[in-house]
Amino acid sequence: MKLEARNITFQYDNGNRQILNRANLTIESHERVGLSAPSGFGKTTFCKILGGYEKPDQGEVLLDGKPLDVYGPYCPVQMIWQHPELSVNPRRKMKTVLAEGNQIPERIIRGLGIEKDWENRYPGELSGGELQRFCIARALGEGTRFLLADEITAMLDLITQSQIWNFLLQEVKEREIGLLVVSHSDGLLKKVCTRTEYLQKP
Amino acid sequence: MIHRNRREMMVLLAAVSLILLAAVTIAGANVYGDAMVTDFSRKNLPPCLEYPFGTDFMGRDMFVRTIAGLSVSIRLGLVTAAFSAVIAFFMGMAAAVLGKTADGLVSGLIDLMMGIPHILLLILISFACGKGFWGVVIGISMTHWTSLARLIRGEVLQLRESNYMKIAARLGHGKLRTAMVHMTPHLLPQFITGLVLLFPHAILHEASITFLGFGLSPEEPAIGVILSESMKYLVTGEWWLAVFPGVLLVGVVLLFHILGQGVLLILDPERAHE
Repeated sequence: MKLEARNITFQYDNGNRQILNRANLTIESHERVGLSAPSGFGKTTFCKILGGYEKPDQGEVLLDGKPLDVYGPYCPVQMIWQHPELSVNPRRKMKTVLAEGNQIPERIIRGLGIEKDWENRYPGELSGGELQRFCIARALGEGTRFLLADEITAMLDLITQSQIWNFLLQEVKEREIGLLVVSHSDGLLKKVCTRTEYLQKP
Repeated sequence: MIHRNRREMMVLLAAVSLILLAAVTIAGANVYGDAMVTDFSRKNLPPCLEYPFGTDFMGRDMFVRTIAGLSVSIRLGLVTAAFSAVIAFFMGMAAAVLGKTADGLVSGLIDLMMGIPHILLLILISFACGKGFWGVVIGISMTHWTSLARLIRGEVLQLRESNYMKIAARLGHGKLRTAMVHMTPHLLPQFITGLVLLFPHAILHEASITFLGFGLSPEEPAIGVILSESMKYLVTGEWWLAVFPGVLLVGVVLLFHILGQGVLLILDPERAHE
């Protein structure tokens, strides 16, 4: 499959400056693309557009030549957010996070190092790294074809980072999931990605 | 003594409050007839063993009258709190979900209601609805939904913008289901606490507008009626007519307050460890 962003132009409704100006990107299923740029250049915004969270002002996002909406309720392009603590409901137990995903196999849950008793806790009772594992697992449901990883390990220690990335790389290779990795860390991008793109100043 | 933590103590306290309130309500409903009985052979008696709260100028047993009055107050509070909570829920939801115009209308209405002194609006509405039990209920419900509605509006607006609700949408969950599943655990505690804390307001307002003569009718054994009648007799030294019903009214209000605090503590997972 091929995920394509064509001439994306975007500006938030609050009248701020233009974030993206004619940005282009193509990712194939077997590719792992790194995306890098200084702060404020629209990396997260770009991910949100690719994942269908925001509609671009101009340009389009196509998956195999068709817009994302035609792929049914479950979006085949899933985004993992930078802040896990904002991505889970603080008043619902962690097992509901896993249940929300599309058929998450036990293999993924264990592979990410999620322990059984974490599932009965509330988000406030877990650390950021522990929460992020749940968010990653949630995005790896059956229907996922592309994964957008927006600084998903920036807040983790190196051992946990490598643990998570090792699992994730193996998983996306096995299932032929296309991966977009947003990071400030060139070392990480070099290690994980097949190529790296740079967002231009708008 | 067995050591209990604060949470357990609060639950215990809330349960005791609930039982006491239920007992007063049921007892009051059963002695309603006795509260109307007049007997001029026992009028103006100060508190004694037989009549712990004394008797009034028509020889009515003030203890029975007070309990019956509190029972009326609690039932009125129950109906009123339920009514205004329902209004608050729908108004808050409408403001948050139906777009800018609806939001402007509801918010404007809330500001308007909050801008007018409660008691004035209350008297007007109660009077227009023909006073009595339902006049008071409608009056208080119409004036007391505002703060809870504002709370719900704010909460829903915030939740709608939350990452986890957007993520749920991308994971293919329907709007209604997502709203139910993700909003209920935030709204329910607010809602129930707001509902319980409406009781004391409703009860005090009922007493005050009845006291002023715009609420329940004078023959009813209501706290407001008792207090307003007792004013005439305070100068002649019949202090028991005002003191006991007044103190018990405050007691009931306090019990509801404790109940509300307890409910909040039980339902809020963020305070689960207190």
